[in-house]
Amino acid sequence: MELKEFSFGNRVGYETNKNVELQVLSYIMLSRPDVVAFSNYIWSSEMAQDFARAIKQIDSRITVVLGGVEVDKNHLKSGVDFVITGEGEIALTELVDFLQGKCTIEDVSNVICVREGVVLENKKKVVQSLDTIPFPYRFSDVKHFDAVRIETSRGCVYNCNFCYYAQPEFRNFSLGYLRENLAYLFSEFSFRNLTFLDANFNTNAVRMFEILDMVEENVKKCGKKIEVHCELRPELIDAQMVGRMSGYSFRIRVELGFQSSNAIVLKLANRPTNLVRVKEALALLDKSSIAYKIDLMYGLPGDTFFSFLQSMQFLLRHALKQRKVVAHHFMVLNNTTFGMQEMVRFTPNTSSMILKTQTQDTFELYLTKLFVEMVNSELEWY
Amino acid sequence: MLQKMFLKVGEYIPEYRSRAVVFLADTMDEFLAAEEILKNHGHKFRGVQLKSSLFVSLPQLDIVTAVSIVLEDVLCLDDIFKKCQRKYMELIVPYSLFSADLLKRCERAERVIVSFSNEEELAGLNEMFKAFITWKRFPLMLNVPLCKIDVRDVKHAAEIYLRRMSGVVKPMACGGCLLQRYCSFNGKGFVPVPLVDAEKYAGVLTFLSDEDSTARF
Repeated sequence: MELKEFSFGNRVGYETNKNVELQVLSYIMLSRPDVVAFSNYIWSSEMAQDFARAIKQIDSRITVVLGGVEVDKNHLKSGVDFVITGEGEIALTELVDFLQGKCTIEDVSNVICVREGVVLENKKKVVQSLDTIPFPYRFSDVKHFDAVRIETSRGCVYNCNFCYYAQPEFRNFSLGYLRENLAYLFSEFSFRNLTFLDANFNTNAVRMFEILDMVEENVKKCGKKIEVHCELRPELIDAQMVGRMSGYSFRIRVELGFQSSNAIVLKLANRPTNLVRVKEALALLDKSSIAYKIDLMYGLPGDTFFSFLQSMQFLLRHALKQRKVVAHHFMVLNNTTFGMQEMVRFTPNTSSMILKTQTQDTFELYLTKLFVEMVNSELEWY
Repeated sequence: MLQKMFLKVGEYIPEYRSRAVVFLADTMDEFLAAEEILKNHGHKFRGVQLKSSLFVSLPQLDIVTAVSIVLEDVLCLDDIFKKCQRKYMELIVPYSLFSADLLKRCERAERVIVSFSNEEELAGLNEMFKAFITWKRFPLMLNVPLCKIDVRDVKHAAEIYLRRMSGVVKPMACGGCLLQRYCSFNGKGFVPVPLVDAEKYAGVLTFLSDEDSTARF
């Protein structure tokens, strides 16, 4: 079996001449694959669906599969043969077995398809032992990266309504798996940034430090100068954690999800937040060598312009090292709790920005964005 | 504190040295006094607010890093832009001078604030908002009594977070208004109607009571 991976890359604006599309479709036309599969997220889903239609026009024999957190049975549209929901590692392997006649469609996990005019939604399967997943960099021909990214766990112990991370459940890669593959990464690749993709890397502080100790060991052994990037839950940060993280030979940059300081907004988002602990964490980080970024989200259910201003005030007062306000427009993601509720979004069935809520209209949301930009442009002069 | 404060020269105290300040200067003497203080001011943001006629008559501004200019006519705009190079710039434009074209010309300014002088001018608010959106700017307004606009509505809420206006004598008709101390109304051009419904303005009041600095954003 031959595998070929493509990335759409970064595309800005509307490309009249469709170079990326023509490149990929030409490659598909020449290589005549049996299966073309697309991983869908907010930035790629619509394009993947367009590709599915186009591929069928080039060669109707090709099987098209859509997967990723974004998709559900609504994606079984023209050109799409199979939709894989949830984790794809098991499902895609089983689907290829089915296409090769080794099993029946009923044996394929996490798959949705149409059989004899009826939508078939198969059983869900979760990768129970993450160690069974091959380390992706073992398959990479490229050896030089600016950043390498690694999962040490999947899922999230929290369950915020706007986020998909918690699904299907929280699991860890074993420390043995990580030790072996971190050593491989350091010995075989050159990179400047090592990013841990976990939702909250500090959920288990003991484990986090065991992993960071492994990184330290490899950094020293290989003499690499790197920066480590991870996402932390601010309330779980304490003086001991900051002290120990500051002691590594590599620089650590952390991302802190915050979203709002408003009690109503946080409750509706199912995101209990201890503001006192957040303030304490920021004060500790401000005194440390650890760089951080803390984000807000506007347009969340229950938010108003004034409650958002209070959230901004909170960061301006307490996130002193950041010196700017980072705020994202709330994107309603498919298959999240909010995504399953009645919400007015830009593209109805695709993950896309919220257009209005019960407490804010479109103009107000845009003004919020302009307000943040205005404040940030002023802060540049400070 | 990542927010600037507006004050008169006489109000300056040493504790403000580490803060972003904007001195309100009505005369050349006041400007010179402000400049003298700014020479030893500790914060990078060292501002003055003055009328455009006074501003264009000033020599080169070396100490000042930020200017807030009350525009009196559009003819001096080019002079202002020239003099404001590499400085933070805020323009306060009377509604009578405001137009979409003017906004386009003011691209260089970090903030454009439209000041109102009477009730009739409020009829043009929607057009003004359209112009601000066209030029991707947040619409800021000044001198509109808060009872004449719906301050709960973000597009009408601008001056409530702009700054607290100290020293404004309120007319008797404002008695009992919940937002009186946050309102810039100076008793001219509008007939005020006190806002007394605490429940209706709960969100605004919560925000205002949460912050107690002399500046907001």
